Amino acid sequence: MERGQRLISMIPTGLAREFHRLEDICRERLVNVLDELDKLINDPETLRPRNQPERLRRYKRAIWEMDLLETVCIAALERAKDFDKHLNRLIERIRIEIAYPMLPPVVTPLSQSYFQTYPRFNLMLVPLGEGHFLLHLPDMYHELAHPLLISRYDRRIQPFKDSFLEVTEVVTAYIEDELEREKRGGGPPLISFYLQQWLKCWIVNWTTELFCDLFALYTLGPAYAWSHLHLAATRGEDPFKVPTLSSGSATHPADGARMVVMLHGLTLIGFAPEAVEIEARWNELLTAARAHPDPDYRRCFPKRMLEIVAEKALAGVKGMNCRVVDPATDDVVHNILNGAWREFWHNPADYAEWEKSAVEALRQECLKVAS
Amino acid sequence: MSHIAMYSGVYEEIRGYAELLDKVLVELKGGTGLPHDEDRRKLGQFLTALNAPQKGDLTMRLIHILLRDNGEIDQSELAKIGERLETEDVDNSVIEPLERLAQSLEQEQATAMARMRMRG
Repeated sequence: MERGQRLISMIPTGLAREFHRLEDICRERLVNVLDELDKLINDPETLRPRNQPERLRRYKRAIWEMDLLETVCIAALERAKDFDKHLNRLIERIRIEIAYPMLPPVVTPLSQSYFQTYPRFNLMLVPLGEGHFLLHLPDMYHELAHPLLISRYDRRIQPFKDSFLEVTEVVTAYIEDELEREKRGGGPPLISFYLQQWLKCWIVNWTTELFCDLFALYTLGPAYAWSHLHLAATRGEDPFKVPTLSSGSATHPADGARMVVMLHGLTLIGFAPEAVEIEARWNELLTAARAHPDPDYRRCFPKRMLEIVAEKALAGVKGMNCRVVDPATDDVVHNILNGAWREFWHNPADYAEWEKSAVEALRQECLKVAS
Repeated sequence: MSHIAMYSGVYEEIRGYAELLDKVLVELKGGTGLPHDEDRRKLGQFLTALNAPQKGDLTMRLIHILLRDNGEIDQSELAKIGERLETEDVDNSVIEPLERLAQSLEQEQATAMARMRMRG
């Protein structure tokens, strides 16, 4: 109880308007935790011996909730003085440009772990200093998609969620067929175990990540694929690694699969030449990294299934009436972020200087939205 | 999205149903709940939908998959329990599987929180 009350008293006063919603969410959830703890201590029904298993579980949940609020919300509110007005104006500008159907999250530059979003807190964390550069700002579009998938009762967003569900059905049917084949063929139990793990990964995490990639790709264009290629080159693991007993990411699909999805997506919306160009660079990276897909990868991420993901997601984004880019799209943020990647490849030696003036131009454009 | 944010998402998705389950369990054990109580009705719907996630929402699909390989949980048995919650026919044979489900949901949340801490 003392800890919860202390956390409430740590919520700063006089925060910028953008933080008011986060402050409300944080305060309300802390009060709920304290109410729950009070019941666990004092409610006679809860104290009965037969209810102790429930009491213990409720106590753990209350502590987990407090941990989450402390490490995410309070930390963000405490550092709200470092609030980056430019990034918040930028996200508002993006919201308008792409006809994003929800309120934009508040953006704070205090991430120590790349871009991340906490949809229930309406909070997006970006790395410190990211507002001074352009090449990875496309990731903000990816982060914007996460809240869409947990929204409820919003008919405007339902097409995107319907498409997501359709993909989970396709994936489930495919893996169940593979499991059945293993069963009939009497294959090693380890393969069936892998297939079950992959299905869990697909449903719990990977489909979400692929849909967020595709939302970004369809609403921004090639810049998102370039940004992902750069990220995979600089921070990625084996691009064809799938979860096995020894390694592989359960949280994110293999970078190779993400690239297949994006290249197909680009082709679907009229950027076939750009897809060819990106694929060529991607293949150079694979050659340099000596990376090759193995049978596990091919079984976990069949190409046709990845293409279906891209096709279903496109229908979902269109169904939300968001702006889907095409080669004729002409909007400020879209132009600057796509232009940055063109400039980067065209004239890498002078890119840093070009970027400084482009960042300033973007700031001026975003100020127009604010005024 | 980072691993930390992702695991917090899993934790949040499960939490609402875990809370509902514990609330109804206390009522069932105390004999204080009635079939048409709002929470009991919601839990019944959840248990039924869990066994047929094609018609469920994303959260339902997620929980269905998380529990799929859990030897302690029989999702078709839970669907029948969901139907029994709409009647007065509630005894230990209803309470015990619900206790196991509550423990499994707790375990999934604990795993998500542990992974958040590990990577944080």
